[in-house]
Amino acid sequence: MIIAEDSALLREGLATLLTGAGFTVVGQTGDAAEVPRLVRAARPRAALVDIRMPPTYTDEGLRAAVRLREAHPDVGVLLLSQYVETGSAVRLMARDPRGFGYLLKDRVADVGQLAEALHRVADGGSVIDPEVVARLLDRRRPPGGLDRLTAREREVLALMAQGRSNEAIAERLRVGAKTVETHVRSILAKLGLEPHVADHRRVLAVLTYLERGGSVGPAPAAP
Amino acid sequence: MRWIGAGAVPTVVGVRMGSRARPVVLAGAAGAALVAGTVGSLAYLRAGASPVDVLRDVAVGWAFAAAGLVAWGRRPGNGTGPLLVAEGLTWFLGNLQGTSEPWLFALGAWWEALNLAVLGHLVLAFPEGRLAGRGARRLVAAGYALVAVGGLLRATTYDPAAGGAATAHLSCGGCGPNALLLLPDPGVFAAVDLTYHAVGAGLTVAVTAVLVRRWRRASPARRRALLPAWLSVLLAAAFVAWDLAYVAGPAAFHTVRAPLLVLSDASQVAVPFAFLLGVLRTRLRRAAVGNLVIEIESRPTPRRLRDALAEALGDPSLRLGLWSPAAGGYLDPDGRPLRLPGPDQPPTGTAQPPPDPDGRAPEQSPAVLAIPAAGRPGGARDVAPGPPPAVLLHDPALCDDPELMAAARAAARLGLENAWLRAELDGGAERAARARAEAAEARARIVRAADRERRRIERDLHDGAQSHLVVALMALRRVDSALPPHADEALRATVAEVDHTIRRALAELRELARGIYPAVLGREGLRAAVVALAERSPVPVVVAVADDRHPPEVEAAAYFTVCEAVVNAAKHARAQVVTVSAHAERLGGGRRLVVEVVDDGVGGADPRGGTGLDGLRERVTALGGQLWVRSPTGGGTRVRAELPVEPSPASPAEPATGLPGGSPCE
Repeated sequence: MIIAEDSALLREGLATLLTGAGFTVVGQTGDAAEVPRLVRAARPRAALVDIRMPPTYTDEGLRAAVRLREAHPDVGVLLLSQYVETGSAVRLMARDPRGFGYLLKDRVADVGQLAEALHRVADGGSVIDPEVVARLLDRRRPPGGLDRLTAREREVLALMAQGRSNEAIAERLRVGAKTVETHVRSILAKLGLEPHVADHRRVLAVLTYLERGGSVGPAPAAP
Repeated sequence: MRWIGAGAVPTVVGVRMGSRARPVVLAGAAGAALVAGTVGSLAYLRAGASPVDVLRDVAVGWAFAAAGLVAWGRRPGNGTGPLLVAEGLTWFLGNLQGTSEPWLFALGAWWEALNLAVLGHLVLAFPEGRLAGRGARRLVAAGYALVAVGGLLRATTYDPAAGGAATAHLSCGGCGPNALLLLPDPGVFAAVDLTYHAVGAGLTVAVTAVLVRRWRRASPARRRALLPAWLSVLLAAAFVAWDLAYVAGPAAFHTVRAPLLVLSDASQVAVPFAFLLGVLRTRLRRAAVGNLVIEIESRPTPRRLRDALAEALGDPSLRLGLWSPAAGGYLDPDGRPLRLPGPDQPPTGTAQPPPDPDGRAPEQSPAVLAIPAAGRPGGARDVAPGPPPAVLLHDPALCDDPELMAAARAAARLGLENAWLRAELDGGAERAARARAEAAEARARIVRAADRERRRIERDLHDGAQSHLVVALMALRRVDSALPPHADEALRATVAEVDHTIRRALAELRELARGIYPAVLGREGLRAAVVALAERSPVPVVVAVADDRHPPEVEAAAYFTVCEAVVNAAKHARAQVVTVSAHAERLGGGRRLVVEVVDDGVGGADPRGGTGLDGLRERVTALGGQLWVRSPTGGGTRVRAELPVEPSPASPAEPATGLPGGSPCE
C-alpha cells in the first residue's frame, strides 16, 4: 500500500504502524500530485490519503483520490479526514462506493480499526466512519422513516451505513446471519429502499437516504 | 461687435439696451398730441361735425398717441412707439381743412393722407419698429412721396368752395379758402383726385401683399408677435370696407349704420393698443424667463434648459449649442454638431437678425446669441479669450426685444452654470465615492487577511498539534500492545488515562480549529459548512442555503454570522427551532448574498452588546454589507446580513467602527 500524508511525522508513524500490522508500505508522499505516479510505479492494493494536503490544504487529497479511482479502479482508497463532514463523505460514496473508505484521522491510532478498514477497501468494500454515520442518523428530520425503526434496526442501519457486510454485522452484534438479513429487509422496507444484494449498492442507498431524507440536509431553492 | 480670430468663433459683448427715451422728448410728444388733438377737434367742430363725431375722432388720434408714448417709454429702442405717436399726430392733419385760415386749410388738404402713409410704415415696420428689406423701405418711401407730391398736386386743384362729391368727407360750407389753390377746375381736380386715390389703393394692396407674404414665411414665434396688430388691422379694414359699402349704397345699409359706425370707431381705437400690446408682449415673456430660472434650478441639464427656454420664449425652433473643444465647434445637448448660420453670421452678444438685403425671408436664418462664461468674482472668465461656452440659435423675431434676450441669456447662463456646477459636484461625489470604495476595499482586504490568518492557524493546528497528538496516540497504542498480558493494572490504567486525555485533546483541538475556520467552508462552501454546523447544534436547525460559491471573505462573514446567531439562539434565546436561509439576489444594482437566521426564542437580545454580533457587524460592513438584528422581547430573533458578492456600481460601504474581528464562534 501507499501513504499520502503531508505531515512527515504522522506519515512515518503510519508507515511504522502499518508495517507492524503486516502491511507492506510500497510508497510514501507528502504531495497529493505525487499519488498517481506512485500508484503507477508501485501498484499498491490500497492507498491511505489525507484529504487536506498542500498547497491549499482544502481538498487536494480528495481530488487525488477521485483521479486515482478513475485511473485505477482496483486500488482501494481510504481517505483520512480531520473533521466529521457528512456532506463530502456521502458525495464521495455516491460516486462509487466500491473500494472507497472515509475515516476520521483520530482512528489511525487504533491500528486494528485502521487495518480492517484498509483491508475492506482493498477488497472492494466500503468504509464510513461510525461518527459520520452517527451524525447522519442524528440529523433532525421530519417524522417517519427512521422513527419506525426499532432500536436494534437502527443499530443494524448504522453498521450498514458504515459499509459492513451482513456477516460483519452479525459478528459485531453477536447474532445469526439470518437475523441480520431479516433486520436488513425490514429496514429497507420501512425506509422504502430497494433490497439491494450487493453491499456497496446498499451502502449507497442508505447513505443517500440519510443524506437526503432529513430536514437538515437538502438545499431548497432560495425563498 | 468685437471679433476674435477669423473663423466662426464668437466673442462676447453686452446686449444693446437701446438709448433711454428722454422724458423731455416724451413730454414734448405728449404736448404735441394734445395740441394737435385740440386744434384738430376745434377745426372738425367748425366744419360742422357733431360732438360725437369729434369725440370719436379725437379718441382714435389720442389712442395712437397714448399707445405710442407708452411704447416709446417702455421700449425706447423700438421704432414702433415713435411711429404710433406720429400716427396720432398726423391723424388730425386732415381736420385742418375745417378752418377758415387759408394756409392751415392748405396744409390740411395737402397732408390729409399723411397718417395713412405713417400707418403703412407702422405696419411694415412692426414689431421691430424698423423696416426690414428694400421692398418694404421702397413701399414706405412711395407712400410718403405720394402724400407729399400727389397731395400737393391735389391741393393745388382743390377748391373747397366748389363743393360736390370730392368734399364728401368734409362737407364744409365755410371752410377755406385754399391758399394753395392754383387751378380751380373741378374737372382737373376730379382727375387728380381719382389718380391720387388709385395710386394710394395700389400702395395699400402692395403693403397688404408684403404683409401676407411675411405672414406666410413667419415662424410661429414671429406670427405670435404679429398677431395682435394683424387682427386689429384686419378688423379695422373690414369696417372701413363696410363704411365704403355704405357710402356706395346708403339705402341697403341704412338700418345697420349706427352700430357699424360705433364698431368701426371702437376697432380703430383698439388698433393702437393692439400695437402697444404687440410691442410689450415680450416684456410679459421676461416674467416667463424668470420662472424658467426657478424651474430648471431643480434639476439642471442642458436639454431641460433648452426646452424651458424654447417654451418661455415661444420659439420651438430654439437650439442650444455647447462649445466642445474636442469637436472644435458647438454641439447640441444630444451631442449633435450645431452649424452656426454661416461664417458671416457668428454669434454676438447682441442678438441680431441676419442681414436681409432684399427683404426676403428674414425669418429663415436663425439669430445667434452667445452665452458668456459666468462672471466669477473678479470676472476672470469674462475676459478670457476663446469662444463663449454656449450659444443660442433662435428665431430672429426675438431680436426685437433685447431686454428679453438679455433675460434669456442670463437665465441660460445661470442654468448652464447650475448644470456645470452640478456636473462638477457629481464629479466630486464620484471622487468621494471612489475614496469610499477604496476605503471599503482596504477594510475588505483586512478582513481577507484576517481570514487568511485564521485559515493558516487552523492549518497549523491540523498539521502541527493534531499530527503530534495522533502520533503520540499511535505510540501509546504501541506501548499498550507491548505491555505484557500480566502487566501492572495501574500501568494499564495510566496508559488508558493518557489515551483518553489525548483523544479529548484531539477533540477539543478539532473544535477549536473548526471555530477558527471551518475547513469545510473553504472546501465545500457555505451550505456544507452550515449543514455541518446544524448537525452539531443542540437546537434543531432548518437549513435553506443555496449551494452556490462566493468569494471566501463573503462566505466566511456569512458563516460566522450564521454561527453566532445559531449559538446565541441555542445558548440565550431558548429557541425550539432555528431557520437559516442564504441566497444571492440582485439588490440595489448589485448581487448580494442575503443571509437570515430566525429563531422562535425569547428575543430581547441587545443587538449592540453582549453578543458576538458586534464584531460580525464590523466584518460585514467592512465587506460593504449590512447587518440587522431584530429581537423584540418574546418575539424571537431575526438576524439578517447582506453581503455584496459582486461589485455594485454604488457600493454604500458604511464606515466600519474598527478593525474587523469576528467572534471566535464555536
